[in-house]
Amino acid sequence: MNDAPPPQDPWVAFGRVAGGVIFYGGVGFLLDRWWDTSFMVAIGVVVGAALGILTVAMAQREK
Amino acid sequence: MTTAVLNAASDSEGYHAPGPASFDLPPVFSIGDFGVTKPMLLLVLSVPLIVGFFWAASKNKAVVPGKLQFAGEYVYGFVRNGVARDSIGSHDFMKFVPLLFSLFTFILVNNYFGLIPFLQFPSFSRFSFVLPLAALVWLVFNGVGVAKHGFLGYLKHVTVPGGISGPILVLIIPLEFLSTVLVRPVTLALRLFANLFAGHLLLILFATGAAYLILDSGNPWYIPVGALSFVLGIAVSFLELLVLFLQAYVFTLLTAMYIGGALADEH
Repeated sequence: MNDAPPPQDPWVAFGRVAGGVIFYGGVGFLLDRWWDTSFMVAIGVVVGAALGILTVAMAQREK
Repeated sequence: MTTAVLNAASDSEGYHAPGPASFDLPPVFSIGDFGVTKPMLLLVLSVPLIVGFFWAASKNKAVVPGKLQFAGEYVYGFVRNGVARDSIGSHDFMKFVPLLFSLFTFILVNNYFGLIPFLQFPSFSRFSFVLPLAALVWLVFNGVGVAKHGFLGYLKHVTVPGGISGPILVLIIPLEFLSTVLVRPVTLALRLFANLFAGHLLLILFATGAAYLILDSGNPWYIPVGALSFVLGIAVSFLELLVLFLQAYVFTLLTAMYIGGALADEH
């Protein structure tokens, strides 16, 4: 029988970066509307992408 | 596609490139106000085809299989061993083989409808047909995760990735949640839809382009270009043979991986 550990979804890295961009970009967008600014959405997108990449790297190191 | 060819051929004003409108087929017939279109009929047609094939393949079970039985068992074994067991693990996979097998054959047959003459429409190039499949997969993989870990346990399972601890976890949790709950089903649906949509659009473009350049352009210098377009259409059809299989496989494989991930023990 094949008892090797199940392979990981290769798209999980994409999902993490996209999830970060969507969530923190969304937070930035809401902050922009609240504070009447226009740069928080850009900061949010970059922070979200960075956090996503960080998560991918940390999860990879764990293995 | 036939209608698009006729539209392009009957229009002497010039060539109209195919677009998303080429996928809005007129109803074949109507029941009251409800128009039944070709992709709907194809979707319904696929079910007796699949059931009939595997019924015939398993009807005369022999120890030494005939050609038909071999083909049926080969497809079944491919999904059971190559997709389900390898992705979910040998402990739990049998429960999910019926779902994965149905998904694979259903998508595969509907995809190949795109290349069969006269049918010539891949059902899943309509997003509304892909969406319920992705929603079903989403319900199943979250459902089995909740059943295995409990609701809060599953929430922790999908939101807390391995290898990270400390205050940064607060920033990671919403990201992980979105990536599992929102991004997964959306990419699953978009991948299948967009691949079939783009592939079929290419075929329409080359076929109607060839028809227009050779038959209707009225300029003999365009005929070689039209011939080239025709040849490219054939080449893309061969590429589609591969892509159509691959998309059915990837959809099933990712479904199995999501289920396997939801069932996995703690990191």
